[in-house]
Amino acid sequence: MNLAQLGKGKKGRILEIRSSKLKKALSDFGVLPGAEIEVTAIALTGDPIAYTIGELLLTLRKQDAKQIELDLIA
Amino acid sequence: MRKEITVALAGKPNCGKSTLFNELTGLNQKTGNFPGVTVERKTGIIETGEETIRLIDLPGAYSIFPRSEDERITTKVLTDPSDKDYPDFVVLVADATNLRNCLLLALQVIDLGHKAILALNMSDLLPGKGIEIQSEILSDFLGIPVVTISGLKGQGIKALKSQIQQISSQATPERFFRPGEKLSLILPQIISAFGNGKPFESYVKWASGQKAVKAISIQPESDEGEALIIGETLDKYSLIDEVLAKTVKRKPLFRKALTQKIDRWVLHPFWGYLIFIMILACMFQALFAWAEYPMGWIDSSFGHLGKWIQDTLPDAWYSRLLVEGVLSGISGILVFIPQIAFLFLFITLLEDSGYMSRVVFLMDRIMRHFGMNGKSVIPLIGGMACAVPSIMMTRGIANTRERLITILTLPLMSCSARLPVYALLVSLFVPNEQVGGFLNLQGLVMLGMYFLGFIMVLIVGFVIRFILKKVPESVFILEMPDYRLPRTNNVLITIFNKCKAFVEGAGKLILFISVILWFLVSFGPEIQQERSDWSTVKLISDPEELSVSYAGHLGRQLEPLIQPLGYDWKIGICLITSFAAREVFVGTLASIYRVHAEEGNIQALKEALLKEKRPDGSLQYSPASALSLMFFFAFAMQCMSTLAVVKRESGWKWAIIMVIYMNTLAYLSAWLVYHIFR
Repeated sequence: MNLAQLGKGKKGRILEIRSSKLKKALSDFGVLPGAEIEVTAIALTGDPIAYTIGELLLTLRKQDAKQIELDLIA
Repeated sequence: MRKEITVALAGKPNCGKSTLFNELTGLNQKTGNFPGVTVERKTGIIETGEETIRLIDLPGAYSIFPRSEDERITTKVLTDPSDKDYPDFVVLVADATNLRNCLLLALQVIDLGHKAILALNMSDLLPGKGIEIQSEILSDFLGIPVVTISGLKGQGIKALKSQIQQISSQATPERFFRPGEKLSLILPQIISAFGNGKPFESYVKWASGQKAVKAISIQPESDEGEALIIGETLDKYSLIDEVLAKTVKRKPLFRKALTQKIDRWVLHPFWGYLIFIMILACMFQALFAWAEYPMGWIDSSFGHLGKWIQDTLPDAWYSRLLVEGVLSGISGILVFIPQIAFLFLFITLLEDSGYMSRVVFLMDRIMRHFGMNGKSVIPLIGGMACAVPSIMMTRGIANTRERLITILTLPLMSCSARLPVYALLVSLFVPNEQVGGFLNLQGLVMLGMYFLGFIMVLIVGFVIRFILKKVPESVFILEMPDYRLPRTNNVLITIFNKCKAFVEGAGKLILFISVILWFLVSFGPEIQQERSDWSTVKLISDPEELSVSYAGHLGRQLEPLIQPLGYDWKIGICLITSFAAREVFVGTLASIYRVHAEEGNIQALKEALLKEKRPDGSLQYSPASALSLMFFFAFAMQCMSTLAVVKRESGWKWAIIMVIYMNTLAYLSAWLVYHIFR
């Protein structure tokens, strides 16, 4: 599954980041495959989505979230 | 001569860098041009015993590899030794409560060979969050001193100041740059292309695309190049994670409880938007209702002062110039200070508390329908005070197309310079009465004008979206920091500096125009002057004679063009002067009708305007012509400062396009309104 499919309050582990632009941007935040990611809030129209990754609360757009493959944890 | 050293503050956004900057420099700041939040390089001066320290506040960045215009400034200053702000010393500011994301930039800056110190900011929050940091281990690892400070409480600031003064002569070696196998292969090419022998500096210049060099076999934008850059960054992160495991102890129970509780409401798909609307409503109340009192005091005290000068000085050309030219110019500037102060009070509070990035989250999808993004909202709100600093705030928008649309539409937001124009025209025809018990009818019409501006921003954005060529979608990532209490001192210093920048920037222009204008209405081509004797200079002082003045000639030339909108040549004069800065409009009308320096300035002007007749005997100021003027002012591009800043941010082409589209829009809508309501 990809990150955009993760529901509110659900948690996953990043397997792969497909777009290299996104991967580069996320690497500046120290977010890399293996990181745990949780859906914290979803904006009115379902986009963007706020994720908690470690100590970070990050906003990603749905189109970017679709580029991130993950495993469901809980 | 005193020794001058340049010190740069670098750190990620929201690490408390600006608060620290204000704490260190206080009111002793020089703001290059008109500052946004931290979009322009800000410079402050610290005088110590032996030397003068120039402190540069760099725009916040997570990494040395820039993704937006403001981050590009940070990279440029830190990697270009020929830049005038290239630092002798770097203070790396880190949020102690969220250290991990602050250390990447720190490692990069150390690798660039800068002498540096790490300031652990917000350390006062550590106990409350159950975090312990062993700064000695961190210091050993980084090879630079680590000081614990709290910008919020002023702790450790003294220690930091003294550290800055004892700069070691030892430059830091590149200790974290470990190019992998592939990067090592092309590194010699990179160094010879960019080189001054510093491998990491050359690498950063290559990776951030500062110059395209075809000779290098891998380009940074290619997938292969990006993989190399990602690899290098992640190598640094694994070093960071290794050292953090040794230095940071965290009790898991305390994690971010308060921020999470607040976010449950603020980011909620219903309550979140309601809270945002409430905050905006509060801001409007402050801008229009509360700011009115200090504005009234300023207006009337200048009225008194002018009258006093007129009574005291002999009636000669210089006393008239002083009162009608200079003094009315100065009061025209100062009268905006309360609104600008209130606006920046709100913006600073929202920014410092961490709320602004939540607004970006809430508004992103909605703004994208109109060719912009969530980060456009803050500049647009700022546009209600002044477009100039707000256009600079757009530098944080990474997508060039969304940034351009924000810049092009932003001047349609009703800025505070339009307020006095609306206020005068509304008060001419809209009765000052209450509707529905608590709403003031005049206020309601004013609010409508602001709404009109915002709607037009959306419409124009929507249209441009289809005209402008698409650019590749850029990645949109935004960190939402923990909530924290804004610091009173920081807020006050920020407001002071913004107001100062306004007076120095736009203020000079307004004063200049107002003096020029005085000459234009006081002299005319047909009036013979005794050039040798200024004491007998004849001035035009009777409103009846105004048509023979230079201004009168200009106005008459313009009359055929503006007659279809319902304006006469006197309004024509005002339009000419207000094309440099709109705030001059009311002042120009006042000097045309010779009503200044009297008590109740505006009241006298209103009476004069309502008596004005057209050649056919009908009243010049009808509801239709007043409304037409309001529409004209709502949409017309009448601000030299804005134009200058648009030209600088996006080039002549877009500045000219903006003038054309806005003025066409203004003319057509004013014409339409006049003919509908006539």
